[in-house]
Formats: sequence, C-alpha cells, structure tokens
Amino acid sequence: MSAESSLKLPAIEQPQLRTRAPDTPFRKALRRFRRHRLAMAGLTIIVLLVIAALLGSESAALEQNLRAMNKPPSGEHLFGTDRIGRDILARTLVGGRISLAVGLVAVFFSTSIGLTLGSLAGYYGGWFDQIIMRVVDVVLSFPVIILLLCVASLVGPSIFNVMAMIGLLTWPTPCRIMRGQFLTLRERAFVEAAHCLGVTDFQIAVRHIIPNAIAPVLVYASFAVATAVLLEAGLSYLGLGVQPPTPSWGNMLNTARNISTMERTSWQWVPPAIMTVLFVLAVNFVGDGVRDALDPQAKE
Amino acid sequence: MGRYIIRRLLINIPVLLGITILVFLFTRLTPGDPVLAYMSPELGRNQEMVDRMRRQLGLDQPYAVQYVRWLGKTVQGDLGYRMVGGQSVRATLGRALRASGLLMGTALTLGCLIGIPLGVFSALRQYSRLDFFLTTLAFLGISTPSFLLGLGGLYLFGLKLNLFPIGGIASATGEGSLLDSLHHLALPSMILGFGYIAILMRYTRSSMLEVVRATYVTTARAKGLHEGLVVFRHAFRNALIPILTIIGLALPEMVGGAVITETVFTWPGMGSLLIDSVNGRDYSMLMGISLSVAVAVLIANLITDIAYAFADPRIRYQ
Repeated sequence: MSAESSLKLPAIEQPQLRTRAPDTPFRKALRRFRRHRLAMAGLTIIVLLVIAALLGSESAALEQNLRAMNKPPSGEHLFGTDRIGRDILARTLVGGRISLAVGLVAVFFSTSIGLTLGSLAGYYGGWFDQIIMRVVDVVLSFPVIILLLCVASLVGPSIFNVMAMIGLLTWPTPCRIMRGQFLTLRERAFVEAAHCLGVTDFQIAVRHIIPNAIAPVLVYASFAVATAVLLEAGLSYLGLGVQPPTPSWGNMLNTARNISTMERTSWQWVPPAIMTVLFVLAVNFVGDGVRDALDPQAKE
Repeated sequence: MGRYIIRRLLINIPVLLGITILVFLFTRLTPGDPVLAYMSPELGRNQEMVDRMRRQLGLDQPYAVQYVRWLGKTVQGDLGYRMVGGQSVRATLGRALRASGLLMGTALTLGCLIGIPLGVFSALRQYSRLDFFLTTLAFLGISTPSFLLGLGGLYLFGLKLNLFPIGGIASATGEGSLLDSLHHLALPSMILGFGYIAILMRYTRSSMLEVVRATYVTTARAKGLHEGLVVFRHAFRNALIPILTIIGLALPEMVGGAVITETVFTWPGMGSLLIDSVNGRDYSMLMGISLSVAVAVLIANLITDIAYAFADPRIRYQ
C-alpha cells in the first residue's frame, strides 16, 4: 500500500579512502537527524516524559482517600484527586508508564514478527512467500480497530492482551516493507558475492541484507509507536483496554466521557490528555526526522 | 485498460476467500456458547432442548460443513439474524451503512476539498508563515486522539455555544427534514473532516514538494506557461499517486464508520453497531460487519488501482 509504493533504496555504501575516520551511512544519518530541529525537540520531550513516568510512585497512584474525593488542585494534591480520592499527578505519571510500555512493546512485537516473516518470505520466495503474502493481504483487509475490538471481546481486556493484540494485528505492514526490500536486495551483486564466498543464508540475511533493508522499517516503527499509543488510548477509553485500578492515559480520559464530569472535574482528564497529545506529537516529529535522516536522496 | 482491471479483479478472489474463512473461524473460536446465549435460562432449558436447538441450527456439524453452508447463504445475501434482539443482520447493516456513509462521505469530501488545496499552497510556499501554521495544525490533528477532538468539539460548539445538537442523527420533532439532518451532521462530520484534512494536507504537501523541483516543472516555467497551469497541469498531476493512496485507504471507512467518534456523538452508524455487538457478544452481527468492511476494503483497493492507472498511464502497461 502506501508504505510500499514510497519505498526507496537505502544509501549505497561508497568506497572511502582511509585517510580520515570513515563516514558510515549510520553516522551521516545521525548527523542529519541531529540537524532536524523538530525531531530533536520531539526527542527531548520523549526523554522528559519517560523520566517523569519512571518517577511516578505506584502506591500513591493506587492509594484511595475517600475524604478527599474530586478535590481540585491544591498544595497537597498538585493536580487534584479523582472520584475516589486518588492523586491525579501520581496516576498521570504511572499511567504514562503503562501507556508508553504498551506502545513500545506492541511496536516491538509487530516489528519483530513483520521483520522475520518479511525477510523469510522475501529471501526464499516460492510457496512460503505466497502463503505469507496472502495472509498479509487478508489481515490488511480488516481495519485495525475492528480487528482489535473483535479480539478484545474474545480475550478480555488486560495490559498484556492490549500489547499482544496491537502487536499481533499490525505486523503485516512491516512484513510487506521488509519483503519488498529483500526482493530487490537479494538480486544485488554484493549478495551474490557473499554467496560465492560460501556465506550461509542466515549470515547473508542478517549481516548483508537486513542492515541495508532496515531504514523504511525503522521509519515505520517510529510512527507506529504513535499509532499504538493512540490505539491504547481509544481502547481504554471504550473500556476495552487497560482496566482500572491500573491507570493508563486512555482509561483516565474515560472521565471525560460524561459531559457533566468533563466540565466539573476538568483537572482529572486534562493532564492525561495533554500528555497523550504531547507524546504522540513528539513521536511524530521524531518519525519525521528519522524519515528525513534515512532518506537516501537527502543532500548533506 | 480492460485487461488491467480484470487482472486486478482476479488477484482479489483468493483474498476474498481468505477473508470469509477468517471471519468464519473468528466467530467459531469465540468463548461462550451461542446456543446457551440464545436460550435464556429464565425461560427454562434443559440439555435435550439445547441439543435440539444445536441440531436445528446446524451447529453440530463439522466446521468445514458449517463454513460451506454459511458461505452459500452469505453469497445469496442472507446474513442471518442478530443473536441479540433477533432482527435481520442485513436490514440492520443497511440502516447503519446509510448513517455511516452519510457521515464519513461528508467528512471525506470536506477533507479532500480543504486538505488538498491547503497542502498545495503549503508546498508552494515552503517554510513561509502559512506553511508553518498549517503544518503545526496538521501535526496536532494527527496527534490528538479522536475522542478528545470529538468531546472538545461537543463541549465547545454543542454545549457552550449551543450551535449544534450534542448527538444523534435527527431530533424527534424534526425527523426527516433536510435542515434538521444537516444540523446533526455538521459537528461530527467537521470533527472527522479535520482528521482527513490533516492527513491529506501532509501527504499533498510532501508529494508536491517532490515534484515542484522536477526538471519538467522548471521546463514548463521556462517556456513561459501561466503559473496556475504549471502548478495544476504539470506539478499536481504528478503528485497525485500518494494522495490517491490516502483517499483509497479512507474509502472503506465510509462503510466501516468511525468507531470512537460515532460513540461520542451517539451516531447510529457502523461504529456504534460494532461497539454494541462487541459488548453484547452478537457474533452474527460481528460477522456481518467485519465481512462488509473487508469487502469494502477490497473494492476500495480496486478503485484505487484503477484511479492510479488514470493518473499515471504508465501503470497500465506494467
């Protein structure tokens, strides 16, 4: 689909004279990324949010105080309390830990599965490739949210299930990207050279093809983190994701589901809302930067 | 062109079969016994009645037999009855489809009419203040969870400014009148349209940026063509493919609806129906929904492929 049609071959390694430190494609990409101002801002925001999320105290996030229900922000509770007197600040931080973990683990799942299957399909071709690609076509025919909701009704909501579901239902995209890369790269001279030297299939795939094929998958993965965090938020908002009492940005936003509580107790949903938008925005910036940095047509 | 379309059609047949198998397997692998759910314990039930019902419904047959039977009926347009309430799945789908089609169609039209021109302008004046403003807006649109956008709009325009109704497809008194329908349609379709505007603008911008630097655009300028002609006949037409891809991906949403926004606005479309069916474990309805959406995806892919061939004649001869 869109990802496949916009694929670009990664930079070809230029032979370098060893007069100064070798300028690897990786270093060039890193330099381009550092110069991308929005991406660096995004990265800073992500690092700050991760540190804040790690600082959150789990016991404070779960501690109920029925004498301080629905309290607006004050000195004692900086962000106020929720409807059973739990501290919103602590819940936002710990909820961030959950939401970020869901996003990262889900994308790790989906990228690893897609990378492995896509590599195998692209490298060996034949009936294996046919089967994998037909499965990919079928899974891609269902919008992710519909699959997610159907599976959520099957397996029941939990943190692990949300991670696993998002991961297991979104692997076809990286799989297609990786297969496309393998199809073009396996015909190249350097792969043939490796074959002639008697390098094993596994070594060729891992040492020679994957490093040259990885760029578009990395771009996919960085944008996918944003999508996964939004999916978790949507699922938890609908009550089919992370379940209370465990906080997540999505299920904290559930407070805003009711117009009257949305207005009267705005401090309960504004912090997780801002955090979600900020994080997804930052990830999109970084994704933009990664794409520009890895673009083989980019000029120095 | 005819051969191109036929080849595209043939490619989709195995995928369509795979979709039906997956939909069928999904609903057979669900926990909870549909027969037990169908026969409420309050009316009294014993094992014998359950067995008889199971035989009657053909649920005692092997999966393969059940699949072929189900496929046969589905092909004839018989999607069975809802497990909750017992209405016909097809009739329910029809109603929800009309509601979703209206909502998503309006939103997508807004997205195309506003998003694409803004993307073109943004690309023509790269790094200008307008470009910066539009890009920021687009990033915000892409990064905000849809329910937040929906609730925000509902709160601001529905509740505070009291401009639009806060939900539903028509009011009880004004049912059927065009003005009333438009009044209910406005807010949710604008909110969904904002999402489409954001994404179409992003893709149009980056695609236009790639072509405006092309040598044929310089040539067109050099021979003294009017700037409007340069932009729309030479640049824009070559930037169309990624835009068509995005529209093609959005087309099936006219059938699938918007799960979250429809929930927020209590819009009686496919998204609300999906949530109801998930919560009520209404598997026959779930089968109907997922099947029609998957078929819509295939049809949209086909339309996109044909549109590619019109936008770029080279594609036809591959």
